[in-house]
Amino acid sequence: MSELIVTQFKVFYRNFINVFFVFVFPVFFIILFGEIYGNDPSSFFNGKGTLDVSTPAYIAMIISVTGIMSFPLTIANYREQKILKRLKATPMNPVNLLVSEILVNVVMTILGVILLFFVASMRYGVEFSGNLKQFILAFLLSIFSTFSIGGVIASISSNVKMANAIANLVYFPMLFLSGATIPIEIMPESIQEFSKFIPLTHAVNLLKKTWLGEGIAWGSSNVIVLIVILIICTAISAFYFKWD
Amino acid sequence: MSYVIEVKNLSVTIKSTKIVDDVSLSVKKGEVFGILGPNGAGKTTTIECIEGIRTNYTGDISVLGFNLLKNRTDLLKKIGIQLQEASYPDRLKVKEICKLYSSFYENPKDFHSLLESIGLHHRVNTHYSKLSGGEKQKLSIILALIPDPEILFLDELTAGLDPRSRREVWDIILKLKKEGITIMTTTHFLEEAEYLCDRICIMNQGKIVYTETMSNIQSLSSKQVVLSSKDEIPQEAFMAIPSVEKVSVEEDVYTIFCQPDIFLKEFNKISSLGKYVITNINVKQATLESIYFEKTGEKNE
Repeated sequence: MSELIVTQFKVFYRNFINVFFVFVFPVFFIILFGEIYGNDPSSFFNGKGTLDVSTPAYIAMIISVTGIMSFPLTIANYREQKILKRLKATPMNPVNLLVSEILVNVVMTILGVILLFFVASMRYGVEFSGNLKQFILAFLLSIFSTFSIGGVIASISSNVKMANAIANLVYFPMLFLSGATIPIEIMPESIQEFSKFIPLTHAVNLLKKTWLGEGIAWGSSNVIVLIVILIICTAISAFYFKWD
Repeated sequence: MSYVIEVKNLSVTIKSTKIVDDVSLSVKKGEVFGILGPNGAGKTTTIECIEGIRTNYTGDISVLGFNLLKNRTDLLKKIGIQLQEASYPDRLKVKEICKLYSSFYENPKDFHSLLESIGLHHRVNTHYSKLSGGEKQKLSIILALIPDPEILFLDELTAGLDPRSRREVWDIILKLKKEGITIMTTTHFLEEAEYLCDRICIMNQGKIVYTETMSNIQSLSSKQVVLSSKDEIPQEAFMAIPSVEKVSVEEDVYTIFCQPDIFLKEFNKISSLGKYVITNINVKQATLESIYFEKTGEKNE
């Protein structure tokens, strides 16, 4: 299993697109918005700075890159290239592959978040003002919920082209309409209303609340939506998954 | 006689089409057994059932005494598989792929010595995507040998290779054969079967239509005289000639199984045959090729 994990790490970091979207792109956004707006307390964000509010949103952005792009595209590529089929012809338990691929992407997500926070705090003085335990729970729930959506894409796509098309279709609207890149607060009311139907919006809200220390009720709609998505998407993935 | 592979009444039906239709075969220890046939004959489906990769079949398969439906993982520890069309992640180096595949087995063979003996050690730090077709196939053989398998399965091993790489790969397999490993292979290259196999079967439309040892096929060769005549020649006339064993007639072509030198010498002496007009007479090399075309119903052009 350890050799498999090491291998999946190599496959991840040797793919330029993965590295760019997990490490470079979010940092680019924080610097872009940091230079435009700075991080001075604003009444618009209840006395927090723009970046204080944006940082947890960018964390959701990193999660959606690994969960909806990198993870399912790797699996779809493995299926298309018959790499999965070849692995099935060994005594390795095939579930190990999925587990290590998810593990690698989760670890990369965490590293991406650490880099993002490092830049945000060093350059713009962004601080974490929530309860760490609550934030980690929210972070993990967001990860597993988003990865389960990626799991559906990985399962139903017979090739990379199809996985790419679906992933882009899910990823980009999600990214821009959930508040993960552009604060949802500045959007028109109709879009704010629509964004409630986007799963990532709930992850963004949950991450923001726990990051800013607003506290979170575990029975809140954000949590329930993410858990329901996790259950449904995992079931769909398990049902449709094929090795070849 | 100990069989390491025994298949009884194997059938695979996909969307009400019988891809494999009641196939039975057995392979002895140390034998190189080839499945021949045109594309779509069911060769790959058959070998994948035997390898334990495919489970949607009916019939009984026993490999090394394992029942595939119950002990699939145990079997996969003891066999080496090269799949048609399989591949490995592009951005991994040869060394890294070998390491990964070694980690799947309890006592893997040292891949460095395999790389050495198969002639890929100079590419150990090369990314998979940079390998040539022949090198990729060599790697797939190395990976199939890492478990130190009792049986090696090769599916269309040399498809898509240039003649030189093909010959190199054949020589590797011949070397393995000398070491006594049991090999099951599929191919549509007759030359490959002639070069490598001890015994072959020919599949056509999901069925095995012919099974024979290569040594029998080779001794069958040169034992035919083919003769054409518009006249109707009674078979008894041929049977009277020394060395003739069998005559088969198809329209106006007579295939006579005999020793051609004796037959031709005696043929002219027999006056009763003088009244027939012989339009063509040939000594035929009844090679694997002619058998193949006869059995698969493909025209030899």
